[in-house]
Amino acid sequence: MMLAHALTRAARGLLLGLVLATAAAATASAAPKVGGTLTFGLPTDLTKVDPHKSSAFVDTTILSHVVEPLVTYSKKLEIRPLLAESWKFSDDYKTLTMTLVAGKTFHNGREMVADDVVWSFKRLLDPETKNPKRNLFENIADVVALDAHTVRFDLNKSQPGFLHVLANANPIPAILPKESVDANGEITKLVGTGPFQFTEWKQGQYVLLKRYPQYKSPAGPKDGLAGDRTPYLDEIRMVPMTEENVAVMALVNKEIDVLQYFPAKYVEKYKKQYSKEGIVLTEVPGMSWYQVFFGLNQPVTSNPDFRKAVAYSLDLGTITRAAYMEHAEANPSVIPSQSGYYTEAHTTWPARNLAKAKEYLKKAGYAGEKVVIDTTKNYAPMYKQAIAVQSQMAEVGINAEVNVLEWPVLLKKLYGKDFQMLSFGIGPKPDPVDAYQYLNLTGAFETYPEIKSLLDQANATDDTEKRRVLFEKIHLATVDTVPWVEFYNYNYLNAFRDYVKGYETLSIGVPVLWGVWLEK
Amino acid sequence: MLAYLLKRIVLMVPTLLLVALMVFLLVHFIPGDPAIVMVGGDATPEALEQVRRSLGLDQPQPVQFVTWFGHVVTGDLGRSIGTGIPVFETICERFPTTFVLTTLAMLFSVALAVPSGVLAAKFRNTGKDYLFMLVSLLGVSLPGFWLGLMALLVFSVQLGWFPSSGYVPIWQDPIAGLRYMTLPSITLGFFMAAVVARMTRSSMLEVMRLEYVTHARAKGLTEWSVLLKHALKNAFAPTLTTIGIQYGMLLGGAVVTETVFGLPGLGRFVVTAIYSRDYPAVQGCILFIALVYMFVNLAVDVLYKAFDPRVKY
Amino acid sequence: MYPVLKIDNLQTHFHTRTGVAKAIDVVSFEIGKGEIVCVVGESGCGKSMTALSVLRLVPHPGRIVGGEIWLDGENLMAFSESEMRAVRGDRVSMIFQEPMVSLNPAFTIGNQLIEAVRIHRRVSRTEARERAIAMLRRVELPAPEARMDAYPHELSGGMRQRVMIAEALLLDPALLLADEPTTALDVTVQAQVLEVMVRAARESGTAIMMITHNLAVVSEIADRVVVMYAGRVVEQGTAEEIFTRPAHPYTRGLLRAIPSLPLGDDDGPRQPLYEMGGLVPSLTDLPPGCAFCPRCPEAFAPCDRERPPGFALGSTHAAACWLHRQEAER
Ligand SMILES: Nc1ncnc2c1ncn2[C@@H]1O[C@H](COP(=O)(O)OP(=O)(O)O)[C@@H](O)[C@H]1O
Ligand SMILES: [Mg+2]
Repeated sequence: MMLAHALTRAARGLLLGLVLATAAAATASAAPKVGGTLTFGLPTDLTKVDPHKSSAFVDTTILSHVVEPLVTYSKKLEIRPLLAESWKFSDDYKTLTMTLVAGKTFHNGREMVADDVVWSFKRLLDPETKNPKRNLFENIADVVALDAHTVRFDLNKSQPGFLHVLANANPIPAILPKESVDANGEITKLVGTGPFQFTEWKQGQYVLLKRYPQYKSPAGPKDGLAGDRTPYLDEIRMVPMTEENVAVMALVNKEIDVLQYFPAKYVEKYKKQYSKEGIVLTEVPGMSWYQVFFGLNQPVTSNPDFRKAVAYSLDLGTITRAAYMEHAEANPSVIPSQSGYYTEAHTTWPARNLAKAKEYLKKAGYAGEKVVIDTTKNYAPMYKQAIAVQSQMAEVGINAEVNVLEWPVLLKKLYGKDFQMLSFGIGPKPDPVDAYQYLNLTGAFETYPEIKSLLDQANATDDTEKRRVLFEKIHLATVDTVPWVEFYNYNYLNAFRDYVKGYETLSIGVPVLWGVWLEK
Repeated sequence: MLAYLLKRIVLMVPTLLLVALMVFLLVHFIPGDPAIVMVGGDATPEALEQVRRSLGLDQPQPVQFVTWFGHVVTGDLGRSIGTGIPVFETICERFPTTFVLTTLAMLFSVALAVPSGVLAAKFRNTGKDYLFMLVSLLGVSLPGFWLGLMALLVFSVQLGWFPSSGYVPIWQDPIAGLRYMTLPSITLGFFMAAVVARMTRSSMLEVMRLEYVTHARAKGLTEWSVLLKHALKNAFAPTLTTIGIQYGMLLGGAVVTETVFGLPGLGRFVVTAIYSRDYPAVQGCILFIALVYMFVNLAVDVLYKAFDPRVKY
Repeated sequence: MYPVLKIDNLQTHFHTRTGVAKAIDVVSFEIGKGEIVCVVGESGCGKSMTALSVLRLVPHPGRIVGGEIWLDGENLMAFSESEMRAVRGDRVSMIFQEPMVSLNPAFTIGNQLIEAVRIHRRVSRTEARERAIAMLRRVELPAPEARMDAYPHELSGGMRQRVMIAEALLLDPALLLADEPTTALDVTVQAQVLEVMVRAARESGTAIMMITHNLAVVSEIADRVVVMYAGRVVEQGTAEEIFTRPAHPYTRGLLRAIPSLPLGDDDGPRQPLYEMGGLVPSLTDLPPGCAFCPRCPEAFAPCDRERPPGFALGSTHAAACWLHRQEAER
């Protein structure tokens, strides 16, 4: 059961690669210039200045230019040094000892040392800090400064994937100086170690970042968030462009230089017009993944034969186009095609087959009961894909109804396992273990303990080969049990003026503005 | 007069109390809570519970109300869950923009609506009047969102008269600020203008049937003096009430305008807060907006007497 | 010498959706200098429209469609709109029925009186104010200075009507159109207000066209009487002629309805007007004959077919009724 598009996927990946490569070649030809102000259009405003308190992805977009974690991701999502230059796990993966980069300074001029790492993690873990994603870091039992440039992480349980925790994008486990906190424990002016300094936030208007001239970049060429991180721009103005049509106008009017999310519906107009007006559009495969979850504890959907029937009734390509036109890649796996763990096994999925779907319906004893697909209009693709799913299911005689909810209500149903089918989408999860954790929300861990055990095994090793095999097994288990149907990963459409050089967006969704300069 | 003002202001206290209770109930009865939005789709149920506890959401609702209200009466609206910034600070930072926007929109709409209402009344049941009725019907039925985008397309993209994004507060740089405010206040004011013009027209027609208008004509006044002095002053009193009510609607309509034009106003903030169930932010802002609305009403009532001396305080 | 007002075959129609309402089917009468002419008739018979026609202020959708109106020998129908404005309030002024709504509630008495002066006279505000106060004194409004700053709603109905009278006579007009000026007032003040109006008008030599359906009032002040029915003058004559020798059955009906009045030559039983039966006919659909015919106790052969012209019964007395054809021809 191979997907027909598996081949074209490879071809498209190549094409995209080419586009990027030529863009990179063009920029490489000229030497970077220091100076200038770049105005960057964000989808929404910054929510919190304090990375330890934040949980919104937009904050990462901004703050990743200001603060830094100990390790970070390469373009291919491998762990690379940032504030830590080297590290060593104990054999049982319960202690991690890290050596910090020497001579790294905070924006206030003071050198970053091991005590700052200890303080930062203690703050992040303190329940009073109220980080909504604190649980990500809960396996940390203690952080100890061994000397000025050495820290040790003691873990509660063995966790070979712990470096992914330290490289986490949202929230960023940033190393901050103790003195940036006021008497109330609040950060009002953020001080970090990053290439840009946080200068000003006017709520709803802009966030102003300034180049940190003393920035000490890691060695090596720029590679994702790692490697060369030298800032060239004097200033970055990050402006929220909440209305997508207006955002495009602002780019056309040169009021902004880069638009992070270029609306797909404007691509035709770009090809016809904007491309001739000095605007460059790039399309980068993303790692966000969209799906419909089945409630394994609910009438009708608890029956695996029914879920199989649904799987056979759906055509992933059609659903993908319904949600994102051609700007997404159909993908039945949670592992995106850019991941090192992506193998052919992950393309396995039932192709649409109406006869088989009906056969399974009969087997399931389905007698026209109503099945509710919960979704929300707050995120358009979740709604569009739900409609497409409903209509394809209807073709095999499933009586499905789309139930539009507000985002918080949808979340509530998700956490309450109170849904039959739930149309959803999830942000980038570079480590497949994190992605497969979502099976828990459908109740799959209880219903199918063998999946849970495979996941535990994958979590217990950092042997890439072993993990790869385990992830393939998990994927095939989901083909058998259909606890969800994965649809696609959408591409990031970024548009910018042609005088912006060296700009790229990574597939984890973070735009990178160091290494970028203006050629005006 | 002063006694009247004082009385009205004192009477606002119980109203505000009621609003506070209602806002609290309303906000807490919509399903979903801030913890769930904060953790997004990413957390374990235990983590969610932890966040809930840290926000005090595990407490019974009456306790939460008393805690919140206890702070409110001491002037502390609490911190926004979303931004971590004191709600009052956000109001101080964002409301002036909304206030300027709505006030300019109101001025624009009155400046447009009252003369067109008068003209429509003068040329009632003629082609000019029908044209006016049509335009004003468009005005009330065009979605503000669409109108804003069209205004941007024409005046900012095509003609380049105004910027399509960005913002400078008008109190920092009046000229640049006005440039950023022109399109938003016109599009926001357009809806209100349509409503006010219709009100002006109908109350003008009402008034013009009255004997004192005939009397004014019988004095030998020109038709314009009759319309603008004798009829309009009387017709303006009900129009003023409409303007007062509409101002409240403007505060609501500002949300869309602020979103389209990217203005850092309070409306946009409240909507975000509602979507993320940011209880303290929603409650604080709505309480504040209710207070503003009460003051607008008070101002309308005080002004009303200038147009209708028969009113007694 | 010209009469102050000469209405000659005036026709004022309302073009409504349901048809043309002949509010004034055809009306002719004159008012001499300083004369008080009372126009009487049931409600809706076109009295107010006659007065408004004189000022050329017939409200939409009404229009003067024929006839002439002569003021001191000048044809008002030939006047331009701005010439008409110069007439209104200066040479011809008008008092309305409802003092509650005929004064503008949004302006002070002073404001409205001063405005009335300054529309037509180039005088300073102070001068206009003094003139207004003097006039208020003439109409016996107590404390006139203080009243200048009052709003209409702060005055009683009688006081308001005094203000209206003062305003109307401020500029010594040749003609005062008084449209039921006391009908809305308390009976106790009606007489005083009327007296004040008549006296002030006499002092300034102003003729009055007084619209009323109070025949007691008519008997007290009228020099001459015009009786209207369904947009036409059915009878006119001196007060004495009308009260002692009413010629039209309608006039007689009117008089019979007033218990305190002498009944003239008819000694039949007194009965209220409505017992004549029926109502004023629809003005959009007037019968071909005499409009009063369907209600007339004395109708005979020609009445329902042919409209009676005015038959002269004397040099000052005329009636539009077939009963008087022979009399007139004699
Ligand atoms: N606005 C109007 N529209 C249509 N017809 C009207 C209007 N105003 C007055 N009329 C007609 O004119 C007639 C005479 O009205 P009016 O002169 O006010 O009567 P009155 O003798 O009671 O003063 C009414 O019976 C009515 O048919
Ligand atoms: Mg009348």
